[in-house]
Amino acid sequence: MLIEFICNGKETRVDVPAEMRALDLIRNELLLTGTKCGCSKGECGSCTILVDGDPVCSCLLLAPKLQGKEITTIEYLERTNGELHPIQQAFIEEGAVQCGFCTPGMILSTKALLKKNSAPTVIEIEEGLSGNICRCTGYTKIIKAVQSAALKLQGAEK
Amino acid sequence: MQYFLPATLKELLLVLDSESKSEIIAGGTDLIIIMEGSGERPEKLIDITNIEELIGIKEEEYGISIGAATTIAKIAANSSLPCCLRSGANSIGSPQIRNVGTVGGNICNASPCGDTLTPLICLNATLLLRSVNSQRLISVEQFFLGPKKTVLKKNEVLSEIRINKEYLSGASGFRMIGQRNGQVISQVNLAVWLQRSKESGLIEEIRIAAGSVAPTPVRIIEAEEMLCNTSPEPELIHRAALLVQASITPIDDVRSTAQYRQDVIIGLFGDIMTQLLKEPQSC
Repeated sequence: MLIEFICNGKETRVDVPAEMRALDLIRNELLLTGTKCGCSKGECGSCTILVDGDPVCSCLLLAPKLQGKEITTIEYLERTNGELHPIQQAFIEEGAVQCGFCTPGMILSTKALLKKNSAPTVIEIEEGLSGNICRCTGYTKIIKAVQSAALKLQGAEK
Repeated sequence: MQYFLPATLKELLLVLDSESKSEIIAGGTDLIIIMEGSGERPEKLIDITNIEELIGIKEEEYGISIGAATTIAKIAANSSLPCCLRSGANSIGSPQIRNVGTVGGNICNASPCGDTLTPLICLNATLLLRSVNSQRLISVEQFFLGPKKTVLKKNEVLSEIRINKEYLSGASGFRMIGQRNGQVISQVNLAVWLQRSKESGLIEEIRIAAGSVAPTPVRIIEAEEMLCNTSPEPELIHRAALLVQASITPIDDVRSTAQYRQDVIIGLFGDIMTQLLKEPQSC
């Protein structure tokens, strides 16, 4: 099945079986392996991508559902000059990354959250990240990183 | 596997009628898990999420119409919808699931624990079922036949959900118990809608529905009757809660035990009623 969509700013055309999951398309065909496969049940959030700006689990999405959409994976956050995105910087500075497996999903959920709500409360951060599980850091540092990223992004706007 | 992405309702109904061995896919958040788990694929999938007529929340003369392919996230965020439906929607899955899952999918999946089902029963919603040469309106209460079983025929699609004006006013609430916050499936859920008289403050009409406590979501008419035409004090609310408890027939399963469900529903009911009588507007 021929599918056309915009992936990380680039027009993309692929011919894949209709039963292929968006996750497998992204990892195995487009070779964007920053998107991780954790539980394959939509519970862990490590496969999170943004579809038209909203976070979704790519393991629960069939590839044909990308038709006509605009998707963002973690690879698109790095600036073209090689600098990290302020959310990525905040995660590193706050020690919110240990094994790193959940991090791409955490960062994309954070991006979507901060776009809707530039100064979220702790409860709003917990809700915004409730679809992403981390088994290492214990969340405190992740929440701090989101708060710090919010400040960085607010500063960048001014 | 063949994949159809019809762009109009008319096209969908024709495909649905002519393609045997086909299944409808909306958000797919349940279907993909089943497909991945079993390794089996339907021969043909018909995706209904590209059809604009099936998406969105519209005000109509009779009340509100919700397109079946409207996402759960859109339901949760829409302030013109009653509180019980918005909180039910908001308790489904995670942000990632709510951005993809649809209200029509939640209904047609007919899981006893679907978190929009009890709110829709309380709001006396009707469902519009369409096929290529007919359409029918059915009360949401009559839609469910058992776990994963509905009255929907092979060539029919649920196209919209209607809520009448009288149920948009009044107070409503929803509570569920799950094993953790976020991404969790209800062990028990409960929704209540009620209308009080402006003059006397008495409850003029009340509708109560519980989920995950029987093969389908159930209305609890005995408790509704007990509370109708009263201005309930805590003692009466507790007696009604005991009636709610007595009316349900939960089972032990992977998520919880029958006993736990019996116990916890009393607290859920008291909690919703207290809130609806004290601060009916807080959502």
